[in-house]
Amino acid sequence: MNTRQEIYGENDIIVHLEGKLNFQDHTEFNALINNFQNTKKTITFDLSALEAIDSAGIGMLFLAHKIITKMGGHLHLKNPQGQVRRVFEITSIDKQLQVTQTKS
Amino acid sequence: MHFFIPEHHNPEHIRTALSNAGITPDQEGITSLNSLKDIKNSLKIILFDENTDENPESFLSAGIDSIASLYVDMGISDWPRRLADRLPANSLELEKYIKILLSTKRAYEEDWIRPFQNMLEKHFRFSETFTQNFGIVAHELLMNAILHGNLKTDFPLDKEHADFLDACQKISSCLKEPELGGLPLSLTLTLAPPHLRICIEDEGPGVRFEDFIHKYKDKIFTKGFDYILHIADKIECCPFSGRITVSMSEKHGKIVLPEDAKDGFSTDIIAVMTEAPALFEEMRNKLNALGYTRARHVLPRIEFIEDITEHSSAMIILADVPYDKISGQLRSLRQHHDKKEFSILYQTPPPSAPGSHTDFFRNVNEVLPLSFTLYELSARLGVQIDMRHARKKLDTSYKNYQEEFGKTIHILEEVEKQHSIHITGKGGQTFAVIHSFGTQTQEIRPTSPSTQHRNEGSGWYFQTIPFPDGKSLKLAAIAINKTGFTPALLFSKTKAQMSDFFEDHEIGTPIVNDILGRAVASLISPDTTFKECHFCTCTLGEDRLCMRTLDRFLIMLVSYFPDEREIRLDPVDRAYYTNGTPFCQSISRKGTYLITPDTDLDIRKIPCPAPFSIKTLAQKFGRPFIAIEILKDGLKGVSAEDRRPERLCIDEQ
Repeated sequence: MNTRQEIYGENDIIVHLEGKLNFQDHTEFNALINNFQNTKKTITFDLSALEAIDSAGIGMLFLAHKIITKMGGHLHLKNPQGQVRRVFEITSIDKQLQVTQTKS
Repeated sequence: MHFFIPEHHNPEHIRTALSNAGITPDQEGITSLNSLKDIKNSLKIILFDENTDENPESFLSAGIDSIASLYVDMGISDWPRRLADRLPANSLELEKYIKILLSTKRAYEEDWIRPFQNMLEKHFRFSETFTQNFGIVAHELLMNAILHGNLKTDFPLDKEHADFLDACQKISSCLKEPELGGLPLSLTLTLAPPHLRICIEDEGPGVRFEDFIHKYKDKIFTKGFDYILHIADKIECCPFSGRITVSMSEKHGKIVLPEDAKDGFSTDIIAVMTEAPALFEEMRNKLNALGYTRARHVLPRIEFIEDITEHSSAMIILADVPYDKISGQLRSLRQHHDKKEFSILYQTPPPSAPGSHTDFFRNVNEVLPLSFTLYELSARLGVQIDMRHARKKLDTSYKNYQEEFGKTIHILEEVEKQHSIHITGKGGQTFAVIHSFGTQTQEIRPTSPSTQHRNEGSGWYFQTIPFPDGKSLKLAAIAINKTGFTPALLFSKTKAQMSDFFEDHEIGTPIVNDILGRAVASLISPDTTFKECHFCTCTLGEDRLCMRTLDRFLIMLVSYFPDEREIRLDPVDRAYYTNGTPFCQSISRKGTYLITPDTDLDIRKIPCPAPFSIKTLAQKFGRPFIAIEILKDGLKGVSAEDRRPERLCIDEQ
C-alpha cells in the first residue's frame, strides 16, 4: 500500500490509498491513523487507486473510523473501484461509513 | 515427472493416459494421494475428473494446456509448456474437470491466487467479475486457513490494533516460511465452467459454521468468511478436518440476495463428510488416549444423518444450544431425508440443571425456534409432533410450512396425562417432561401439579409412532452441542448388526452417545450385550451433564420398554469421564449401581439385587431409575481409595 496526503485548509485531509490494503499493511496503516490522533479533521480516503482490499483492510477502515470519530473527526471513503467496490458491496460498508462515488 | 492422484483413482488409467500423451513418469511414478501429508512441501499437480476412468486420455489432454500455463505463470518449471507443445492446439475442453493441488510454498498470498486468476481468465473465459470474486474467496479462505486453522487464532469481533498486529505478523510469517511454521495448506481448484470449486485444507480443527454465522449475524461484514458466504453457491465443510470447499459459478457474478433471505445469507451451507485420514487418525489417537480404543472414525454430520435416516426409524436430538446455533444442520437434515415413518425426539436441556449452559432456555420464547424446526420436520415427515409449548406463537408460521410442504400437520390439542412422564429433581422441580404418543408408553411418575408446568418450555419433546413388532426399533441418537451435530449412532436390533456397524462407523465424540445407544440397544434387544462402554464429556462440556442426559434418556426408554431389563456396563480398564474427572472413581467397583434422574446425581443408596425389575423399583421408590451392573472390578491406574464410589452408592449383595 502506498499513501499520499493532501491537506486542504485546516480541517480537511485527503489520503490517497494506492495498491492494496490487506493484512500486510497493518503496520503502515496503523502509523497513518496515528497521525490523525487528537485531530478533529475530516479525513477522506481516496480509494480510486486502491486496487484490492480484504477483510483485514475493511477492518482497518473501521478501526480508522473508530479512532477518527472518537477524536471528533470524520472519515470519508471516496471512489472505491473494481475489487474494492465489490468488497464494499458485499460488506455493506456504506451502512456504517460514509462512502461516495464521484466517478465510475 | 511425478503424478499424485487421489486414492480412489485408478493409477493404471492415469499411467496409460500419460503414456499415450507421450509422458513418462519418473522413477517415483504415480503415487496415490492418501493424505495432506503426501503433498506437503511439494508442488505437484493432480489431475483427475469424475469421468477419467472412462476416458482418461481425453481428460489429460484437455487439462494439460491449462496446467502448463499455470506452471509458466508461476515461474516454476518449463516442462509443462514443452509438454503442452506436444498436445493438439484445440485440446482444451472446457467441460472437463480439472483439479489442481498446490502446496504452500508461495511466499505471499498473491503468489497463490494470482496464477489461478490468470488461468481462469485466459483459459476458461470466466468474466472479470467472477475472477474478482474468486480472488476474494480464495484470499479470505487462505487467510482464514492460516490464521484460524493452522495458527488457531481467535480473532475478536471488534478488531483492535493489537489483534491486527498479531494476526498480520503470524500470517506473514506463515506465508513466507511455511515450512518453519510447519503449517501445510492445500488449495485445490476444480473447474467445470461455469462452475468452480475451491477447496482449502489446513490443519485446524474445522469450521463451526453455526457459531460463525450467527455470531456475526446482523452485523456489518468485516469477516472474510462473510464475503465467501455472499459469493459462494455452496460451502461444504467437515467439522473434524480443516477442509472447506466453496462452490461458485459465473451466474453469481453479481451478488443477488433473494428477498426471502431475511438473515442475509443466500448461500447454501451444507456440512458434509469429507476425507481427512490424517485428522481422523489424530482424533482417533486422542480418543484412544481417553480410553476409547474402538474409535475407528470420526464421522461428521450430514453423511451420518443420511445413514440414520436411511437405516433407522427414529432419531433423537439432544441439544444444549439454541436453535440459531443448529438451524443450518436441521435444515440440512430436512433436506436429506424423506422418510415418512421416522420418529424424532428433541430434548432441550433443563433450565434447572446447574451448569448445563441452558441460560438460553430460561425464557420460553427462546425455545420457540426449536419447536419451529419441529414444525418443519413434522411437515416433512408427515408425522405428529407435540407442539403444545410453542404453538401459541407459531400459528402463522405453521400455516406457511403447511403450504410449503403440502402436508397436513397435526397439532395435538392436549397431551393426555397418562402419556406424559414428568421427571422431578430433588426439590420437586420439573426438569424434564416426556411427552409420548403411541402405543408403548407408560406414566412413571407425574410431578406435582404445582411444578408440572414450571419449566414446560424445556425437557423432552418427542414423538413416536407405533412399531408393529414392538422391539424392532432402530434408534439413532444425535447430540447437538456447541459444535453442531457431533455424535450419532445407529442401532439395529441384533448384536451382529451392531458389531458390523461399530466396526465400520463407530464414532467417538462425544462418547456419551455410545453409551446411550448401547443402552438403548440393550433394552431393545435382550440378546445384545456390551463389553465396552465409554462415557465422557468430550464436547458436552459441563460437569455431569452427560450423566444427566444418560439417565434421562434411559428413563425415557423405560417408558418404552417397561419389562424387566438391565443394562450391563463393563468398564474394564476404561475410564469414565465427567468433565475431565474420571467418572470411574464413582463406579469402578464391581457391583450394581443405580442411576436416578436427580439433577445433581446424588444417588441414594438403594439395596437391590440384580437383575432388577425396573418397573418394580420405580413403583417401590416412586421414581424412575436405571440399574447398571458393573461386571468387573477396578480400573488401571486408579488407587483403591480412589475407586471408592463418591457419588453413586452401590449395592454389593
